[in-house]
Amino acid sequence: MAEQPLLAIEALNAYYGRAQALEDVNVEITGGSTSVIGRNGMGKTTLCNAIVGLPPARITGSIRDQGKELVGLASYKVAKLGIGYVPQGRRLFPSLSVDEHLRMVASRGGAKRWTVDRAYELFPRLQERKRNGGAQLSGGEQQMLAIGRILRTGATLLLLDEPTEGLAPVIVQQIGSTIRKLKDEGLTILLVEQNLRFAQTVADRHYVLESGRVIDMIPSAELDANMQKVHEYLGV
Amino acid sequence: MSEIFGIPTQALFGQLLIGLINGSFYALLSLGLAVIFGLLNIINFAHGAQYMMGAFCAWFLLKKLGLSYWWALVLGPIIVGATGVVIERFMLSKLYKLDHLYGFLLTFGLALVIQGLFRHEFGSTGLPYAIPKSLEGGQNLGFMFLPNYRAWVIAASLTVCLGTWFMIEKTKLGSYLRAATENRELVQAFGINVPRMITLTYGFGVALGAFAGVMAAPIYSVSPLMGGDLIIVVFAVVVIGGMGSIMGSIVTGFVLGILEGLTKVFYPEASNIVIFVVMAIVLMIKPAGLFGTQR
Repeated sequence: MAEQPLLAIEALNAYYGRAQALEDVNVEITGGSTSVIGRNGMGKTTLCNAIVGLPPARITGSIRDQGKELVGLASYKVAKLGIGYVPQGRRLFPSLSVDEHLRMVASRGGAKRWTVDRAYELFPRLQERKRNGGAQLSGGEQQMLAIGRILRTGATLLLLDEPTEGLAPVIVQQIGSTIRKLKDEGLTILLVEQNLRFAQTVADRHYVLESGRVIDMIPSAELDANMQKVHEYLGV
Repeated sequence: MSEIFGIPTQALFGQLLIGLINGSFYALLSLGLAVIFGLLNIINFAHGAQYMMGAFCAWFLLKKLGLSYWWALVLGPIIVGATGVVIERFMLSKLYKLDHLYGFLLTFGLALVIQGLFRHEFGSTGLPYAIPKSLEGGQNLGFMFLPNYRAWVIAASLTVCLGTWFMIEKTKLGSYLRAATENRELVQAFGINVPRMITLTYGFGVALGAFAGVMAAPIYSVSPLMGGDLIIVVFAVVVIGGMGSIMGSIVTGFVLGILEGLTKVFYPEASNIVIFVVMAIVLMIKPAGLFGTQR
């Protein structure tokens, strides 16, 4: 098969009113795991929202999923193409129980591949908290549920927006190994992070986003050699 | 034992029954409003007019097509609900980007237009609609006489209210609704067609109002103004129960109906204002309503 990218972002611009949040962003995702790293306020979440078709930014440019244009498509149609969004801050529903979270979003294909039982197998902790409401979970449990929920939609490309934000190091490791496990199952991952150390453990290549532009792309293997540069980018 | 607190039991239970009947309608109507408000964030001011349309639908079906009350009970909500779907699709949906006040103004305007059209056509004296044959007569319970039709209204309203509550709180369909009420955009990003869901929800809320209208036809006369009079009280019920609260609207509807009935027995002069007095007190103590949560 020719190297057609799974997701190709080309010349993407995003505006909030007159302020430009993304400028001529080009990112290609060919499978495996890709990260977009950048500090706070560099346009990471805007990029995620643009891909899944969520407001409020105004978008120009092109995002193609295996050739199909996503810009201008209603977000439920984007989701049906197999793009699953795990938003920053998890965004669970306080009035729904863990079990309801896992049951509500199931698509036909997703429900077959990821049964509720399999989701609980992946995150045994969730099974114990099955009847609890979304607001009663710890940060780590919330993240697990947010990932479990999106798997049930049958998504094949996971968009993870800062999954480690505010989590204890032990939990971060667990989330990391889960993501690697999903990658091994053949899912494509797009990780948006400011935690480079974490991104390094899961992603194969890293796009660096600064002030709304992609300023560099570094494969994981070359990361160590370029550490000096990357630290400058991230200002750490 | 024919008197309680110096009140003849006949009168007491009679008013209690009327209270329960009114409560049945309050509950059904405020439930429809709550369902709509929860997802659309719009106070559906046309609800009274849609309730009236339900009653007229029953009258039309009987007069023009010879279809009985039971048909009307099924077809009325479907027909009026369909008009709700059209209103949402072609009017309300254009307003979501604007302040919620615009939705309120639109439905308020629609209510005036609909009521005006019906009044122009039918006058405001009201048309008779007979109680269906199978529900004529009543039961003598010893302490009071219970007309069959009124018993049916209370039972049907309770069933529909609790059925709706069950559907929203306990089923998968309801979990969509609850999730979308909390975060509409995100639910859409999970592959759920939220705009269609909003349309159907509005249609369903309207259909609940029309169902109440069909049931009201044999009790109150079918008149263009029947909804306008009722809806003011229903809004008070919604505010007391808590905007958007499902259980709140059901419980408050029945309780306030009964309270109103009792007031008629013990202090008739206050029966028209008791609900509004309760509303004022509740708003002072718990501004979000008895069952509501602050948004």
